[in-house]
Amino acid sequence: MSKTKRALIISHGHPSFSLGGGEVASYNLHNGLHDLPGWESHYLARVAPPIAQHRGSALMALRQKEREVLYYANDYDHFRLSNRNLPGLEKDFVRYVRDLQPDVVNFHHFLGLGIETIQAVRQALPRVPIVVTLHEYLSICHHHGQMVKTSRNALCYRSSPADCAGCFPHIGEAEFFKRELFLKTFLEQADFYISPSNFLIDRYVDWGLPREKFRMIENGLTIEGIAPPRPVTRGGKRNRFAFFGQLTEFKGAHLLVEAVSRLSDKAWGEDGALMIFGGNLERQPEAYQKRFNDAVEKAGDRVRFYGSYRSAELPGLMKDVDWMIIPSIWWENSPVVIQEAFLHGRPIIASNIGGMAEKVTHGVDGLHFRNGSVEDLVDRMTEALTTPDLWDRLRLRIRRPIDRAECARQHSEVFDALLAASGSAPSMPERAVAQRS
Amino acid sequence: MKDRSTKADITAAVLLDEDTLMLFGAIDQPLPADSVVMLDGMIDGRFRGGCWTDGAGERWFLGAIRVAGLAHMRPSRIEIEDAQGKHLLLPRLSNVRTNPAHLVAALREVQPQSLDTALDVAVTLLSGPAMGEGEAGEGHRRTRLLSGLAQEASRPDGFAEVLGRFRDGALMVQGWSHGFPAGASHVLPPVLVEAEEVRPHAIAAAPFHRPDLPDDAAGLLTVLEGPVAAPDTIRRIHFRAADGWRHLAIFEHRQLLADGVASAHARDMLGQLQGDAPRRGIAAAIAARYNGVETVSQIQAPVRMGLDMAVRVPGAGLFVCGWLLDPTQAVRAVTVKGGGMTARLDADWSRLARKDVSDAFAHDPLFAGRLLPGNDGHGFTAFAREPAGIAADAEFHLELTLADGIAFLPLPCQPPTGDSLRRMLGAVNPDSPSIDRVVSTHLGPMLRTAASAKAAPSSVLHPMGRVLKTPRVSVILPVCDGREDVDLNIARMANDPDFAEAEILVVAGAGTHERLAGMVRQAAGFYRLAVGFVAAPTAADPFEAMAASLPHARADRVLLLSPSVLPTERGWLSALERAIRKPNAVGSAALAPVMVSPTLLYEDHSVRFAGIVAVEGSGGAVTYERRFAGYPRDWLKDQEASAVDAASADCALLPRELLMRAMADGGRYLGLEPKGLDLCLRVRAAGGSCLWLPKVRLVAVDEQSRNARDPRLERMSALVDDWSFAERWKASIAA
Repeated sequence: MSKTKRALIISHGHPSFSLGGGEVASYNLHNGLHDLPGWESHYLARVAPPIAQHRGSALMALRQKEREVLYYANDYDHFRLSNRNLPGLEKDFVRYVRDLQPDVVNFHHFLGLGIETIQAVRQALPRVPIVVTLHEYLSICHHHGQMVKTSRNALCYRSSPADCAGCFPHIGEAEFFKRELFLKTFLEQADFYISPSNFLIDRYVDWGLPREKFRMIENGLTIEGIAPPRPVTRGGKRNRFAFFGQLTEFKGAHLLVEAVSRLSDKAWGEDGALMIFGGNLERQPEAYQKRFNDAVEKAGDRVRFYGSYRSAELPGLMKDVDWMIIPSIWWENSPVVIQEAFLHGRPIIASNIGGMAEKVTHGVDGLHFRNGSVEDLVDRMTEALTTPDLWDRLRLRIRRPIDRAECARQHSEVFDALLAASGSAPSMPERAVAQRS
Repeated sequence: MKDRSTKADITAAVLLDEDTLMLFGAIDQPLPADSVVMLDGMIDGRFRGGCWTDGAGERWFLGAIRVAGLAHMRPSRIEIEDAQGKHLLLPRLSNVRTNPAHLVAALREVQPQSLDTALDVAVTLLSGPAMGEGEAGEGHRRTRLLSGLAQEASRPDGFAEVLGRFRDGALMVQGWSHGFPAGASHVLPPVLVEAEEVRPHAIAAAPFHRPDLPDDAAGLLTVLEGPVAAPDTIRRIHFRAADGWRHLAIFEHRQLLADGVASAHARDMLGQLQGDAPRRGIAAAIAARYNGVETVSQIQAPVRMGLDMAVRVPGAGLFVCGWLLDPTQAVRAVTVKGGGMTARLDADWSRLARKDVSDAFAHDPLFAGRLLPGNDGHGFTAFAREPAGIAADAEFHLELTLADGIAFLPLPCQPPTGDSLRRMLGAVNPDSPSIDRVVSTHLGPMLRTAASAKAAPSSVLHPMGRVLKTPRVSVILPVCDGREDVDLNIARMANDPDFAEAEILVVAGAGTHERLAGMVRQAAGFYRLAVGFVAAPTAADPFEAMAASLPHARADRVLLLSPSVLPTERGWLSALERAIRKPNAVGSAALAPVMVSPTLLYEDHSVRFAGIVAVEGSGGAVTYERRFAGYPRDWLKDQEASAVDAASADCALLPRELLMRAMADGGRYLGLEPKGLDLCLRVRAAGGSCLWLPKVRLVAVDEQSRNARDPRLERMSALVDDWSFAERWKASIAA
């Protein structure tokens, strides 16, 4: 029997406290990997206020499962993605890494943790392969990692100090150059990069990371049941559209509501509905709230709100949905809702850009509409509502997304290759625990 | 190099002290004023000489040789290096005397007409550090030589009528004479003050008109640079007039000014003084004297200064924090003075931004156009080490040296109380590049000295509840955080049979809540427990509280128990006791008395304490680390009881006698963490060993601090503690 290899998955958040896509993906990988024969996985996730730090240590258990530990980090430079408390990093983060002695370390984001954590691992465990999984564009783009211009939300195709200073004139080119150099200083120490979309890989390769060190691996889902198709009476319409996500401007829900209000009554049918699963509108800028609410008012009772949801509720919610719509006006990467929709056999109408265009194939498993165009969205929704059998044809060609086990298996291929290349079979710990002198 | 023998005749040779020899004689060639001397070609020393030529054209000299241990040598060859590097060979000495009167008599006999010059030379030779201080006291030979010469040479001329001392020991003298010189100190020869000793002093002097005097006499005002002998001990003041030495006698009804008055008195006289240069000389001499009064605000140049705080730890040092607004860099030095101490502050101070100062002076005409926007580094923090022996009540002031004068700022120093030391720590910038040196040179020693002067906390025992004749264990529960009750702690103990025969000492330290004692009394009665309420109002932290309560502990074993430690199960005390009774269970602890701690977990099941171990890093540096701190408790699954380098003072059972020995010389730290570690290391230094039991687990919570936290103060405290710990244990604590 081969020796068990130990992986450390590092995430910027734990799904118990922060239910973002990256957090869920990294946690699924952690569990999937641990289930693989020959692998043992440990999970370190960052926590921050409102959780309070213990006085003696930044590490904490917070009553999570075995092999999971939380690391409190809150002294963070959002511009440089830098941890300003380097002694704290040395004291607790490095101590844990040393004591754990993983064979491979896989970062899933360093937001809040600080990108210096890569260096900290490299210094503490010089021979251990470091893999960085990139879930969005924050290293490339200071505008929340959206790669969308600050003015008029125009798409950004490539960042440069001059372009970035155009978005943030008060910061200036020199600072953006330094930001890029700073981040690359650490990112370049990684042995390999993984991304759940080729589109994101292209962006990072454009930015300067080596293509040969990238591999695209889809996020793995934890599958807890599949929703059957919504029963429709003979001659009935597939006219239930769903939006899953935060009600932010970048997610484009306002475009969707506007489009719904413009659809003809004939196409829409008597029992049509746009079902919005998501919240946080109250946290958005007032101008956006007003725009959104005006659109909702115009759409009348075609729009229904269901509030935010937990992933475990998804199969139940999907039961009443025919189409998933992803109208994001930013690139996206590999939105988990695409996989969720495909898992449950729901065709998708999505913006024709970035990760959405990559994951949804027009005319095969969904439809594309021109990014940001309400008119085009109206046309595609009309097409969906009025083309007989379109829904069934698209549904038939949906490919089932990978689950967490397959995702973990693909990761283990990468990890094994790196371990083989480094010539280090799982190494003996330098120091399993602190030793008496 | 060529040696030259001189034709010299040594008329008199007198040893003035163990190291100094004075020669008088005639010589055929000039002697250097200041040079080196070599005895028997080997031993180096200092030579100073002065020559004059008498009416017959013969060259005479006085010379002083200073060589360590000269009194015990019999040199056969004395060589003096002249200005050209040539060696002048003096004749071999014979008949070296120790009584200066011999030399005075020789001068009077051989050169009676040159006594004034001889006194000039003698004063010059014996001035300055190169010739040492000589013997102390009235009878010392330098004094006898100078007073002997002065008596021969000096003639009476006037009286000193008013004498007053400045704070720095300088002396103001008012009187009259016919020939007292006038001018600033750098142009006048020194005067000789004859008191118990005879010492030369630089002077500034100016005449003034006195209608009661004949035309050839004048009033005089002079300032003698200090420290000058006490006015009431002064017998004469010899001065060098144009035609020779004279002296002021002390007027029978002379007036001695009270301390602090001299400056004002002299300033009042300025208007009457004659001659611009002498008047300026006196004015400068007064201005250079600190008079207990702030004079910075009178500076004409754009310079202002303010103080925020000053703390003095007598015997260790001073801390000064304030600001200096000096946009034209007019200030050349900032010096702290007092109690005989002088220390330059600005050579090594830390500057910091004080925009409030810029703003406050932005519209002051004196600074108009001189304050650059954004240039706000006016603040400073500075330290000065204090030599031993300075009086605890000494007064200090700051002295600003400018191109054309000096200004003063009184420095009222706060005593080293807990509050003032905390403020001092909070004012220091932990990010200063010199912070390590500031800690090791100043803060560390100051805080250590202050702590050693602190009295041990006193305590009073108030028995409550049940009476126990012979308690099985004394539980020490220190309460120093102002909490209102310890009801949960008491209730948990009351419901654990292990504590049935325990005495529980609730130690109320500083800031005790007024209802705590009442609550404890009530609980002691309700739960039928034997409780001792120990009032220790000066105990500032749990360790001081423990120390204060130890005299009241009656059991042989003591359980240190923080109120933040909460047992969730019963029977844990018995488990600790079994471990103490069977030290052989862990090899290295065999036979030694044991301090044993359980595992402490946070309420979220992460590890708070699982032993502290010394880890040797690269280069042999030792660091004490809290093992598994913050990890999930699953990490302890396979751990067994083991010896550790330190247990936890939050929860530990140990023999009382061992604890008393360890606490006899308590470590002085600002933080609790190093205090706890230090205590355990002292336990081990006292012959004990530390043991950790992984299977016995209690919860220890982080409680909300009742005091506002100051992160900067905490960082500084940690830096000082790190230094103290490294000083004591040659190791560090994992940050």
